[in-house]
Amino acid sequence: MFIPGEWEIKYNYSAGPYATKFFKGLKEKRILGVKCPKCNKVIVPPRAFCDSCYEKVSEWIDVKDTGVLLGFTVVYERFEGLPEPPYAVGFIKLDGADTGLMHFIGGIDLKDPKKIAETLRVGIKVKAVWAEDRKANILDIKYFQVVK
Amino acid sequence: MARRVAIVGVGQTKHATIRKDVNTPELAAEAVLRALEDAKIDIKDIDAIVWGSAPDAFEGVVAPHCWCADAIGAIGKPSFRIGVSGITGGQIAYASYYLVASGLYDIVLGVGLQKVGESPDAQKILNTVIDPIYERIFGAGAIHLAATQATSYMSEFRYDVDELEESLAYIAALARRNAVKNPYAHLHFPEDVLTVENMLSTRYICWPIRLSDCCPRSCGAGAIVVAAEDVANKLTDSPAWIKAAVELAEGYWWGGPRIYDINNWARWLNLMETANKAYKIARIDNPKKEIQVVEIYDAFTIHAAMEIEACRFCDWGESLKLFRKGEFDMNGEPTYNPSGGVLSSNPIGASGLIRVIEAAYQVMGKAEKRQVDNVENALAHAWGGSAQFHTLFILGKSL
Repeated sequence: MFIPGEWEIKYNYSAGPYATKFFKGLKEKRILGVKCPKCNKVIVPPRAFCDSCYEKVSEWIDVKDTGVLLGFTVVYERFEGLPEPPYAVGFIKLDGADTGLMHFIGGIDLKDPKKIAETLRVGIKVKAVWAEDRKANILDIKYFQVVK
Repeated sequence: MARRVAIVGVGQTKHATIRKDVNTPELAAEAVLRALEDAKIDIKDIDAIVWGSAPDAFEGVVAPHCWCADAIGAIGKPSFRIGVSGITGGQIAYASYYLVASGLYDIVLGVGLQKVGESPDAQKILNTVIDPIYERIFGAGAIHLAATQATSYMSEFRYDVDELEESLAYIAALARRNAVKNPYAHLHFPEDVLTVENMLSTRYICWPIRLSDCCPRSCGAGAIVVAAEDVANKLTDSPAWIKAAVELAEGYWWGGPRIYDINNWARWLNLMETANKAYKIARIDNPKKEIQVVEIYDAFTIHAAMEIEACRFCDWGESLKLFRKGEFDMNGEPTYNPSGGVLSSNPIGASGLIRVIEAAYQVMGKAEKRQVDNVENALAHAWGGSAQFHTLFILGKSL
């Protein structure tokens, strides 16, 4: 026999000062990164320290809202509580940054999987599409679209 | 100087989507009793216990080591809990080894468990592993990660999508054909349906990954008994000697900056680093000649390809062609996952440990219908987190 169960737990995640500054920047249509004083890599989205050097970072840098696609997938399966398929998600290396930012890739027809290889590939240029009503969160960028 | 350590007994349960016949502690006990029987020892002979599962949301019980303490025989003994996503099982083996190698204990029991099938949607739970500040909202989970590796791989090594998918379908069919010979494996399909064509007819989950490229959601458990050299020699004539045990962590942020694989997901460089460390310790110069069988953590078909390359059984970008030539079929060079691998059974917190168990069966000569010929050395691997942690073991017939 089975005993049914369910978890319903609410959280308030502390974003920390670096993410807070990044999100406030998005509201002003600015994308902010931090520069590692040791390896000079520009890290987007920003964190308090450089992962590879274990150095504290404090220098803030504006990066562009254009970049290249490093890797992606198009999701066709519906998962409970996750975005409605089909949708594309990938990592974008913004111009001026050295790391990949995870975000949606939008503005394309994803219905036919056979056409994805023609539409999306690693290395193509993408540009941020900004939300009209920005609320200082990651979805102030609605998605990145392919630059024709 | 670390003491010499061997695996002297192993056990696992039958893996299935739902193991309705047993509750969580009972499932753990099933694996433990088999490992003790295999080692021909009693629970009172065990000095310490390492146990793990992760993430807890699969069973819906936080800190299940409390609930399972009796079932794993921990009463009256020191016991430790490991819980680090897909690599949990690998770290259980690593910690069990370490406790004996350090000289603290002579016989240690390692137990891994997961009941993935007790909740209806694994991806919802795996998404909660993702950072909630920047990334969780994009719905990423394990399949998304594998699919992103696949698109990177495709681009880096200039595969067109059809060629990539056909090659992955070959791996999907091969793993499930091997699983037919493994009585513990979750997936047991009739062999005649395990064709490349049928694999390619399954639906896309995360393009270019199809259903056939994915592991199942399994309930299952595994257990190992490790012992110091003098104890091992008393207990058995066919121990599996742990010639190398290595663990390596990489940064969480997949977009980097990372130490090993900065913006290059086509090559699993942090795994290559792990393998190189293990080969050095085990004095393996030519893995292809000296290792006869691998049990690698292939949660998705693309991982089998990337892991074979990172463990230096061929050049980068070459494994798919070799898979299709049959190079890694049964009694190949090396044999790839004769158990059917994670692609055929994935009780997540146990899966890394099951790789070690299966590699131990091969070295001990106990793998029955899935036994590879003339095994001197076997490799067992697990990865976990954001393609982030690896454990790698070289087991040998002799030290």
